[in-house]
Amino acid sequence: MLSYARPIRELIEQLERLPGIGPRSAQRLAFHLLGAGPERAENLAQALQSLHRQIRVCEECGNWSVEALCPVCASDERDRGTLCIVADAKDLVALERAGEYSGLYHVLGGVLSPVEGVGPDELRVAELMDRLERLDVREVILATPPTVEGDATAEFLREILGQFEGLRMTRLALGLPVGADLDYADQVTVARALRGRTEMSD
Amino acid sequence: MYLKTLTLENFRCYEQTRIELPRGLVVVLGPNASGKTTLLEAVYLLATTTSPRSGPARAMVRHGQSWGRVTGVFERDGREVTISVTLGDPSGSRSGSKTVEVDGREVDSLREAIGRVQASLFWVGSLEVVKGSPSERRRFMNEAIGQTSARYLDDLARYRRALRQRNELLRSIRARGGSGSILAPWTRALVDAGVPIIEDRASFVRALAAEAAPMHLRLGAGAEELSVQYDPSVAAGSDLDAEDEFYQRLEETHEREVERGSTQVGPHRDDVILTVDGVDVRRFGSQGQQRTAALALTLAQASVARVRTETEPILLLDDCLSELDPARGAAMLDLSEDREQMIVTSACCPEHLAERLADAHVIDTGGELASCRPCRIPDIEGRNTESHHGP
Ligand SMILES: Nc1ncnc2c1ncn2[C@@H]1O[C@H](COP(=O)(O)OP(=O)(O)OP(=O)(O)O)[C@@H](O)[C@H]1O
Ligand SMILES: [Mg+2]
Ligand SMILES: [Zn+2]
Repeated sequence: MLSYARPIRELIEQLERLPGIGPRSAQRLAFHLLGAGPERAENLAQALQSLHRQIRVCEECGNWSVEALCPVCASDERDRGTLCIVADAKDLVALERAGEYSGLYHVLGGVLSPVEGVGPDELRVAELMDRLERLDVREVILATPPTVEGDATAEFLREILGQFEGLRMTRLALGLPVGADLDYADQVTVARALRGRTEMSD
Repeated sequence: MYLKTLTLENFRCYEQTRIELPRGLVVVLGPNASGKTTLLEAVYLLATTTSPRSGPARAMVRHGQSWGRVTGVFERDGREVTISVTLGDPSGSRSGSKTVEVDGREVDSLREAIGRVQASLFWVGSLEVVKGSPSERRRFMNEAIGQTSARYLDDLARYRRALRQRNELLRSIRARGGSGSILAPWTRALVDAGVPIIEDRASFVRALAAEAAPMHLRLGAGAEELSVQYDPSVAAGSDLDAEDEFYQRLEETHEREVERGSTQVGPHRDDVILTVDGVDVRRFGSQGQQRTAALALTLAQASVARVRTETEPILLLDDCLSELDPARGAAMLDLSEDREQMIVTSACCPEHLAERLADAHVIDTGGELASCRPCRIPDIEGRNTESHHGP
């Protein structure tokens, strides 16, 4: 079988490794870039290169950021008495898009999952405890996804955050489709879920 | 609901066959290997999109062909629905695929197709419900309840995930030690998903038992009593509800679960107790008793589904007549009187049932209709003295 020239082949191989892209889409994308001319490809290459050179993790909340502090943490318009705990930075973005929430965030970097070897030490739990010591937080919203793992993570946090007296804890899970990640929930659903958040019971 | 026409293309031994079926009793007669079970398999495939036989979907395609298809026209409350399942791709590209169409429109998820047609199948594999391990009876409950409750299937999926995570954690606690605080969230996840499963199973088995006992009496011609009882690993006690009981039992078995690295109590340890005249038919039943009990359970499950979905399932009964003595065989055929459609297969035309079969619609799958001399009239005690189909 006739094989493609090496640069094309290498591009296809790289594209194929991306989630959601199979051999056929990889080929289609590679030939699209080839046909679209050098400028298009160069712009893409530049964007890819600056991604990891310029992006780092916000020192406070764990969100992706260009500066030491992400825009949310740097803003002085946010309510610093409320902290919303999410599994991933992409969940933070979904909540921001809904435009309903004006407090701060804490990104855990995943959810508990013994099968995948993820315990509390693999998540940003120590950083969370540290922030709660430092900051004057009145309310914590546990917004991990409504999956078995997300629920267990929320439950674990509820237990260890019990040491902070007077801290109000709510769980954001209402209205979200069963088993869905926040990322996929549309903005309306997220907004509704935020308004209808409930106190966590024992 | 009933099946009006069934079209088979390159499906197992069938090349191109179209069959018309009426309501009521349909008897499929033909010698061994003439394609009787295959007909029931085709109907089951339309109802569930899977075969009761294990193996890849490809195995159902007629040898030497690249694709096969089953199409059924059903009538429910005066409305027709056409369902077809295509195995492989007639254009030849996707050989391992399975596509489902409802009224000519391809449905994305198989789930969308499931539930439109209700069918209950009794065949040789159904015996496992009675004589198999407890996991077979749990599977029976899961399939039956899942047919009418998506929420149950969701709880079941969540329970399995919680169990897997919890067991993994127990193994790591065994290896490296660790405190209970890290186990607690998984215990809660297990209980939260487990309690509704326990409740659903309890109410299902109660409904099943109520249908199974009279069904069994009919099949056993009034002789023996079948009792069906849920045997939960954790049940609501006299002073604790199921949730508290579950937590307490987990606490009691904690040492053992760490030692073994697996959760010792919960719905994954459930069973169903089946007794005939007080004797455990799972372990001590004769083959005929086990068969009758399994048949009663299948029919009872169909009745429960009928009540819950307000749809009459089509009954598919494979090879029942030859194994049952004349009284039970007759009782089984009589069931069709209050069912919308019942499709029964037999390799022979039992003479003692000739009268009852006279009104039935007969589908001949080929060859001489074997008249059934070896199925002799039983002795006075009602047992078959000779049977030509050893199970
Ligand atoms: N993929 C296939 N292609 C062609 N023939 C097949 C295929 N799969 C099974 N068969 C054949 O189909 C025939 C009919 O099988 P089936 O189980 O329906 O027979 P049956 O009438 O129920 O027989 P029995 O009375 O022994 O139960 C068998 O001879 C079997 O070998
Ligand atoms: Mg057969
Ligand atoms: Zn930040």
